[in-house]
Amino acid sequence: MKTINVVINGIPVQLERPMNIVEAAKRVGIHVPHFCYHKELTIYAGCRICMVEVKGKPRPVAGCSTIMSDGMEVFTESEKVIAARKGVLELQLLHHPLDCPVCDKGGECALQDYAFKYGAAQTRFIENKRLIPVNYNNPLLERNMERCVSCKRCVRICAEIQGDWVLSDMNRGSRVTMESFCGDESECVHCGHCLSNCPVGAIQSRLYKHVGRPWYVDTEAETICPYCADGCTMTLQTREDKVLRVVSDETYSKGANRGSLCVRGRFGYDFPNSNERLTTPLVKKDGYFVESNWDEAVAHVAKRLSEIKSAAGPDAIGAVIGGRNTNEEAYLLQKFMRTAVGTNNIDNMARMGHINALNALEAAFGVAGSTNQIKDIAQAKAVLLIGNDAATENPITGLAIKKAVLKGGAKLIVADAGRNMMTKHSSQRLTYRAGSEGELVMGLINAVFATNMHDADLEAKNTSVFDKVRAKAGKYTPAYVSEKTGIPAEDIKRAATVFANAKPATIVFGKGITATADGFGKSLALADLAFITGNVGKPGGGINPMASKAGEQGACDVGALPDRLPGYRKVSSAEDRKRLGGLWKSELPENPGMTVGEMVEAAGAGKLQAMYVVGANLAYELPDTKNTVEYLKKLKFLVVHDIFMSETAQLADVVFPAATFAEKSGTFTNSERRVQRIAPAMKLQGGARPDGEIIAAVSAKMGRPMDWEPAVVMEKISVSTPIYAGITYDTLAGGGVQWPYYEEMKSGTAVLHAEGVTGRADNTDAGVGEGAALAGKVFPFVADITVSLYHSGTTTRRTRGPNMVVGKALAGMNPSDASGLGIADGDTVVVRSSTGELRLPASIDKAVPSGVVHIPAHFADVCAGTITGLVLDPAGKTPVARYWPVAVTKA
Amino acid sequence: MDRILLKNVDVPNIHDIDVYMAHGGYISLDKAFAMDPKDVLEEVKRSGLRGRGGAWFPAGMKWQFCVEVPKFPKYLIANADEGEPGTFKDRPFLETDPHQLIEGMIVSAYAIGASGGYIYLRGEYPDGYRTLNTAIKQAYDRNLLGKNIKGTDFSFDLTVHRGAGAYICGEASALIESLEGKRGQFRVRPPYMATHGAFAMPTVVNNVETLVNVSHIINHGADWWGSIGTKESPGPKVFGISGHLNRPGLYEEAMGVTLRELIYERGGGIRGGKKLKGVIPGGVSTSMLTPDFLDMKMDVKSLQDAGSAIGSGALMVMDEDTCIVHIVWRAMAFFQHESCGRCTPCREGTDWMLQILARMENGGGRMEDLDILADVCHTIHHNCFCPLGEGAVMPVLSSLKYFRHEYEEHIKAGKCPKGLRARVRH
Amino acid sequence: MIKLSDKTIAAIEENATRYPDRNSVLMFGLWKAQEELGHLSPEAIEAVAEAVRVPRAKAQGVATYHSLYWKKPVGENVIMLCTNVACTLMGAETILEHIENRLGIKEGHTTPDGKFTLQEVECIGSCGYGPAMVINETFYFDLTINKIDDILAKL
Ligand SMILES: Cc1cc2nc3c(=O)[nH]c(=O)nc-3n(C[C@H](O)[C@H](O)[C@H](O)COP(=O)(O)O)c2cc1C
Ligand code: SF4
Ligand code: FES
Repeated sequence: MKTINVVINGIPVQLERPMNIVEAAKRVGIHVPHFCYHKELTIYAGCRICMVEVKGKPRPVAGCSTIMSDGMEVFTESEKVIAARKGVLELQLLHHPLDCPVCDKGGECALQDYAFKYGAAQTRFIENKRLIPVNYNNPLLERNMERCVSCKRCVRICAEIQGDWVLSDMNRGSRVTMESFCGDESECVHCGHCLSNCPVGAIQSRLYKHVGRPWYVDTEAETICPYCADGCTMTLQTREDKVLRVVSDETYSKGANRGSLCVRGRFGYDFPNSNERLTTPLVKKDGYFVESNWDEAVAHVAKRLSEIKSAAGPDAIGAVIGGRNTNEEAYLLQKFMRTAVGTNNIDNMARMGHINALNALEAAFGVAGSTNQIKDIAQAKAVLLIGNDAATENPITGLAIKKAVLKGGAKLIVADAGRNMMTKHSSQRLTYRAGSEGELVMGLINAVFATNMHDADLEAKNTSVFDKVRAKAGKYTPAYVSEKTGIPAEDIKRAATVFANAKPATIVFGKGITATADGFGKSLALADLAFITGNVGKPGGGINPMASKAGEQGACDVGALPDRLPGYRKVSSAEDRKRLGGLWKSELPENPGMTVGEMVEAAGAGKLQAMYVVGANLAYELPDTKNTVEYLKKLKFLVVHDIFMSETAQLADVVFPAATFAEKSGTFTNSERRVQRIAPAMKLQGGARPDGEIIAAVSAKMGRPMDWEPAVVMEKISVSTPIYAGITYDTLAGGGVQWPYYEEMKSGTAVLHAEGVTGRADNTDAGVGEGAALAGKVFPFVADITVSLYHSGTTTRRTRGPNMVVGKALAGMNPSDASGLGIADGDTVVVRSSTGELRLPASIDKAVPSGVVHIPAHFADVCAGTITGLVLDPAGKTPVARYWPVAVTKA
Repeated sequence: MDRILLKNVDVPNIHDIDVYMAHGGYISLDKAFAMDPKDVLEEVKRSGLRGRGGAWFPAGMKWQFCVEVPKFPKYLIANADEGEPGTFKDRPFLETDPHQLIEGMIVSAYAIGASGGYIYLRGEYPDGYRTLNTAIKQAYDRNLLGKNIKGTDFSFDLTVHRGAGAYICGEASALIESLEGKRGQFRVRPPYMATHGAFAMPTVVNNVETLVNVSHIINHGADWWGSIGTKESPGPKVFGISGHLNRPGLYEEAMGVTLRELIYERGGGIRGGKKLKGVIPGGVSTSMLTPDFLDMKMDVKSLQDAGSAIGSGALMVMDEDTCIVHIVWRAMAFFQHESCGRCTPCREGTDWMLQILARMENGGGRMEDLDILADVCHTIHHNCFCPLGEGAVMPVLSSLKYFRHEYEEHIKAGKCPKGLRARVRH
Repeated sequence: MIKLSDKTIAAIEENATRYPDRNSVLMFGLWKAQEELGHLSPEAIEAVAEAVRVPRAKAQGVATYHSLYWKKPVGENVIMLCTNVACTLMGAETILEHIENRLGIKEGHTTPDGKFTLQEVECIGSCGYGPAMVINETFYFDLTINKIDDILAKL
């Protein structure tokens, strides 16, 4: 396309592609006022404040809907334009309540700004204003339609980006309001897109009501959301060291999320302010915590660890880091364990599932990470979403999938054993029996080969791999798989056809695969499916594993693993031990350590005597709560870092008060390998300290001083961790990079293996196992234990927003199952398993498949671990706890 | 002029396909199918047929744009929304003589290469809905619709889509939005209908009367057809005349008939021997004119020159006793009610003007209100998104121009001198 | 929740075959539901949305956009009287006043016995024969007060 030359307010502008006047003017720093225009949305051209003059045209034209053509000359502030704006503003303000003093939008309101600029201070309107009551139907939002300028951005963003269609413009003419169906906002997922996009004060946050003014903010920090592993860029605004609110990127351009957030990110921001925060180190004496001070507590920990180490050896000590810690902290902890303590007993909470995906991708293609990037999913022509409810667990990935469907017309195949909120966007839903996910994937592979839909060119170059995959899939005929999974054979064939014929097609998967038996083999089978269909190395193709928490991918990357050093180098490799040992000036232990599950078991068996737990709530997050607590209690010494007195901290001998993400620096690496910086928005609360600083203090006390300042630690990481080579805080400025980073090109890698798969190692025979039916006579249901959109752990339990929407755990049940058991919505049910029972209210939900009871994982009073057992999968030593057989009765 | 389009409206049961065929119906199909579609299109172009829906765009040119886009399927839509107040000219083709429309659509679709057709019928015509559905069924039964029509390669499906009361859905792009199951609102362009019309495919939207003319052009040739009427606006036209007339109703005339002929000859003059005060020449959204224009020809150019528009050819006649302010108020009530609400000027402007006009009728009008009305009209006219808003200001602006004194009398009297009141709608 | 009759559902499915995109059936579905249920209550709109498979907010947006979908219950006989310009010129307002007085209700309301709803409407395409009105799909033209009395007495 040839470039276009235009003139805007006398300034010549060259445009490389046709664009509208608002965007073109932006290029030269000219703001054309607008309400309804939004670059991510379809053009609406309704507000008419963007009128500009085009030379040769008798009447003004709308800047948002007029595409510039070569030679066009535009005036954005001419007399005519100003007259037009005044006229439109006068009309815009006729019925506006003019209640700026009590409106939270004051100071950042487009209507206020334009009225100020174009002067519509007096009105000639003498009739009565329209009165519309404020609508409080949404727990987190208020809608004030008197202030609405009818730009319809809320409606459009809800439909076009969020894909939820909760809102519509209702009625006609001057009676138009933006509303949900009869005001019922029960379909709302509280992403707050409508809130962040309202240019005026018509939609407001109930959490932020009369909390602040824009000029009231004293610190604003662009940072990364600490919740899920999508790693959203967002801005925290604070005043006097309290978080006021979260705002999202108005430019819709940064990071993986590009301006979008989910309810946790947007409304789950106030836990740093919680008065339950730990403020001082606590040391247990005679069964009771006593307040201590840092020097004393650090000395005590160093002394006890040293004692145990010398008495029982370094392998009697283990450490675990949680999913919300930074890469730097994970790095420091593993280094501390490997040098100061001298053991490989270090693990992180990616062990709960994600590690299987990483190991499988490494086995398949040589790199332990997602092959692609989240936003590219939008380019896919088909998406296989399996064992992951992206709308709930990884909402921004969910948005990319929705974009593929809504904008690109992609076909979405949702495969899940349980409830999956992406189903409404799917063209095909495969509901398999929990446990049979492996058979399904193999069945798809089988069908692809059976109909010759695999990539024949690729096969020619990789004959042995293809042969092996083909052979492995041989027995998984549609009929066999249908019997195992409960999915009609035709549906399996149809899904395989859709997936194999779409180019590019991508796979997104999560704990529904990785946290089940043979999670490694199943992940590997998915990698094979992506490979044989020729999708690896293609933008919008590939295979995307979803980590659960913000810190999981990074903790693995930097070596917080019992068998891996930083950069996934094997502990068993003498060469790598030597290289790192040289850097760290230490001899590194040679025997692979224990995983978190093994540590807990070893604690129970008395083999592990001390644990150092940073930001992980083991007594709550691990399955089999009862035994886990018992085992942890057997430890001679337990150190816990946390921000709250978690269930695990209560068992500890020493508790260190840790800083939250809002108070510290560091990096998180999201599911797509994107390393991104978090930045402090406020001073440390109470006596809290960053985890890194605490680890370094203990290490120093044990004779191994370490630098802990995050930027310095990153420098060390980039040296010791080959996949992070070249990454510094400077390279990360402006949205982060996806490792591996190439210094010469100053860029990360969005698509791995673009030059062809180099590492497809046919070095593993791992299969998908035999999906034995989980449900049986005694326990006829399968509990599907997942995160809720509103809660993801200890933190969300202390936030106001999410709790205002979902305050208690509910057992989701299919209507027919419920009626069969005489259970009505809201009735208390008993969910019983071989290990324990839960009592909670039932929620009748069509979206839950029959035979499944949906249990959210993150409520204090209903701890899902109560009903699961600690069973470690042989390959990844992952606790198999996503699905668990249970019986359900009415209480 | 002999009636062409309305020739058979009085024939009993002309809605029945047998009766229709007995009166020469569907002959144009044979003629058209014997021709290349290109030639059919050429014939229509040559006739000079201009759209009868209000904008008077040359039909052949519109078709040509659509034909040139290599995307299939293409759609042909008959605009049977007939919403412009004062207009009732399409009704005979929907309720009485439906096959004439169907025949016109088949020939047109053949020329355009359209395989899908819809008649967007206003919800207010339930009889038309039934009649059209029956007629379409009859046409399917005779293989005049559906696959391989009359054994040719040409296939065309036709469906009636029933509106539900929204004037704006008569605007072609809003109509398509509504056809697609959305709130019928004007579409941003580009993209244009010729490339991205209904279901994102090339689409032609034509008024019912436009399409009805097509079979006559094919039957009797473009030359004959083009010889009727004036050069720039050829052809026959059904004028609907209403208001204070002795014989209001539908009259088929050659384009270029004068206003005087329509009022005093066809319409039988003003009722009760009263004097003429003014006319609204082409539906409520056209500017009103005074008796000074009686010798004006009813064609596109003449009305444009007069500062008005021929619109749908819906002439409303007002006698000397008419309260212009009341009529303008009522017209504004219509626009306020029908404004879709999308753009600020039209949504708020019509609402405000309605309140001002009501105040004038009911007492409380102020001289400065006249400036406000003019300003608001200006703001709407310059800044609104679609032609509905542009139309909404016409009654106000034209009445301010020709009948300003009536407003002033209202203001001075503090009420309507004729004792009329503006109602609040429930 | 309201269930639409099998007949209505079948009609919706039949209508769906006539468009390349199912969304187009929404207006037809709303019409059918109104025929079946008398008016489009929120539940009815929800049922249509479900049958057509569109979001219920969207269905409500479309239903509230159009004047001929009744969102409130209406009487046995819905009198739709045109008062647009042509009919007003011919005296529609006197007719309106007369009907209001006769029925004892204001425009936009329904008689307490549920027999009549009186609705002022925009142009019904009968401009040459005004004042005009429609009652239950039957048109009445050239209305006078006497004619109105006759018509209403027979209903
Ligand atoms: C507000 C508005 C309402 C309209 N209503 C109608 C209508 O009811 N019937 C019609 O045929 N055209 C109507 N039109 C004109 C159409 O947009 C379009 O120009 C016409 O259907 C094209 O057909 P034609 O070229 O055969 O005239 C309307 C236009 C506007 C702006
Ligand atoms: S002018 Fe504006 S509000 Fe009026 S109908 Fe058109 S778009 Fe809608
Ligand atoms: S921004 Fe252009 S009309 Fe609203």
